[in-house]
Amino acid sequence: MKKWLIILVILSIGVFLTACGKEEASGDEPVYKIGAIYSSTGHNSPLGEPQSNATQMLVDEINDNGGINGTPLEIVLADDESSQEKATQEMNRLINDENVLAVLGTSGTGESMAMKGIATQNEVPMVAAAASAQLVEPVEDSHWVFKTPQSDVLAVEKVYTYLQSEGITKVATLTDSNAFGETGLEQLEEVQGNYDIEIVAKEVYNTEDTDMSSQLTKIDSSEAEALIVWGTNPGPANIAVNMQVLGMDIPYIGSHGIANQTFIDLAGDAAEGIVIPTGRLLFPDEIPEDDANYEALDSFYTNYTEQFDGEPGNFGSYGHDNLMLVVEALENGATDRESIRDYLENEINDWVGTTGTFNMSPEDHNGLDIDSLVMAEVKEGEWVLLED
Amino acid sequence: MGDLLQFLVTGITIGSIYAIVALGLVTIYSVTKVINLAQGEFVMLGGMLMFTFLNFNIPYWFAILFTLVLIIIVGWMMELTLIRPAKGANPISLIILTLGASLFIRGIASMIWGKDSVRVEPFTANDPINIAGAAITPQSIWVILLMVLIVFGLYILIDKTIIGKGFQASSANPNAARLMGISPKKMSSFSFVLSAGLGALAGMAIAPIMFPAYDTGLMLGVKGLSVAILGGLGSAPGAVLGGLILGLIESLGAGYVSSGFKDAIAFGFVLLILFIRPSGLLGEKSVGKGGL
Repeated sequence: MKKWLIILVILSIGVFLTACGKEEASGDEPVYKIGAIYSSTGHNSPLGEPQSNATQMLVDEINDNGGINGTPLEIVLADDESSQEKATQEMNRLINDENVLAVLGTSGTGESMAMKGIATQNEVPMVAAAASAQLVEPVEDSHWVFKTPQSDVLAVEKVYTYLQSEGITKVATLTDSNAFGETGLEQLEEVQGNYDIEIVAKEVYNTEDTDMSSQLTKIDSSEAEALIVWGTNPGPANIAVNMQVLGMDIPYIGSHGIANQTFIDLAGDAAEGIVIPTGRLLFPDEIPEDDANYEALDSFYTNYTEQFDGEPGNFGSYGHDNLMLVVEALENGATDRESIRDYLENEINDWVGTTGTFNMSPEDHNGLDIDSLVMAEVKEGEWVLLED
Repeated sequence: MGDLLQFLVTGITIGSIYAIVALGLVTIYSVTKVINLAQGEFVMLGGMLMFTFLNFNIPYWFAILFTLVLIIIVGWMMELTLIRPAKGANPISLIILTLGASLFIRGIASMIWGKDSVRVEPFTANDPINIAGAAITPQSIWVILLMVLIVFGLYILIDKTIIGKGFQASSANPNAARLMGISPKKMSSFSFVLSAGLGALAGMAIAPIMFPAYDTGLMLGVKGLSVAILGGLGSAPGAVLGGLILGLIESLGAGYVSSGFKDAIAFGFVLLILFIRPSGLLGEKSVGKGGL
């Protein structure tokens, strides 16, 4: 008797739940539902936090202004905690349970690569905010994946273009032995010929090394006219200080990996005069009004700083462009997974974002060129725009 | 020639950083036979606390004093709460306990200070000094000086004082030591306090050179341990010798062979030495007699 009662109760609960579910689904207004996964916590949180903030802020703005052609936009924001497992879980949840039209994110390369496979399998468009070119190359395997941050090769080309304009032809490289430095070195070696630049000394250091004087002494004895350093803090700051101690005065060109105030705080005086390629949001105040991206950048920056403590930075700008690209597709009638993908691939021409001006094509799912980067220089303890 | 001199100076600078970290490790080992894997964390705390105190505009020498006292308390607490309750456990278990402590301290540090590296001002004005074409910073000279002072101080303490005799006795035979009225417990506690203090000093001295962050203790701990083993575990002069050798090989390897292989060269050499002399450069063959 008891058993029957339990089964009855379970059954009735089941029926009740299904009834609820149905009611909810049928009673809904039409919405455009998209998912976003960013690393709000964990080691990538300095990247993911502004991305997540920017996304939420922009969605609220769009809905306050009546949504997309009258249809509200719903965003499902998820945090991958900077881990690949969590990114995979959330990706599956967004696609299968939440049934989103497209997925934005995530912040890190490893996590984004894990999501790429799921996006491809389920045929869902994905716009990543991670740097690595692997995400969208080779393009045959990246049918469903796009990304907005500049690839490393653009930073390398920007550096070489700058060196060319300075009349420098012989350079030395000093790169971190981690993935970031190694990719940088590969690209530096690969495209040197296109810019008539020759790498005459090639040195590396380990991420945790404290003194790079030996490598620098060797470079000092070579015929290098400039030094290219590819790494993230604190290594490049150590190198700047070591160079000052050794009295080396060849120009120091860094990577976008040190486009932050921390680098200047660490290196102190030794940072003066160091030049790097960077996105424009490192110094929104410095961007001239006639810049193609000025308007998008200015309104995004103003709104962001009004609503949140802290600056959006270059990472926030990827969050902005990821969302707005998909919104652009929705506005133009691409409202299912397939057509959003087709729209992103074929119809994004001269589209002005905050990172740069995008020209997507079947061969290029990033769509940026070197004009999406500018050169910055340290002057009196701050990054300033280097006019060319 | 100028290059060679610079490689040597750089090697000594790097080597003295490793050596000064290894000295704390050696102190604990020689009394308790425990390899303290959290020694690198004491060094990291030295740098980070120094940074915090200086940020609060506390005068430099007071900041050093506060940092020293705080870290000594950490070392003492660690012995009291972790090592002592587990006394009687074999050294391997104790070593794993110290590994846990190091993970714990690192986790706390990342919550307090975040992930970024910090900059600490040097002891004195830091205009580089030129020696026949090779440059060295005054801070590096401070590190070397401090290292020499510590070795000398340890020698006096261990070989010339009654506390030192107690140290050696507890290390060689705790039971016999107890019969002689020496408390191995106190000695164990004292060795942790001493090595935490040495770690703090090391951390403060090298912080202006290396931009400490919450995770620098890991690298320093590994290098410090390799150096201590190379020198012969338990030998303070051995730690210094080991540190300088490792630093010099790294620097010369990077300078004359390839900077990509410098660690491979350095640790290859360490392995070679240990094949020839398994007890390390200055290690005694019969470990367990105590003394630094």
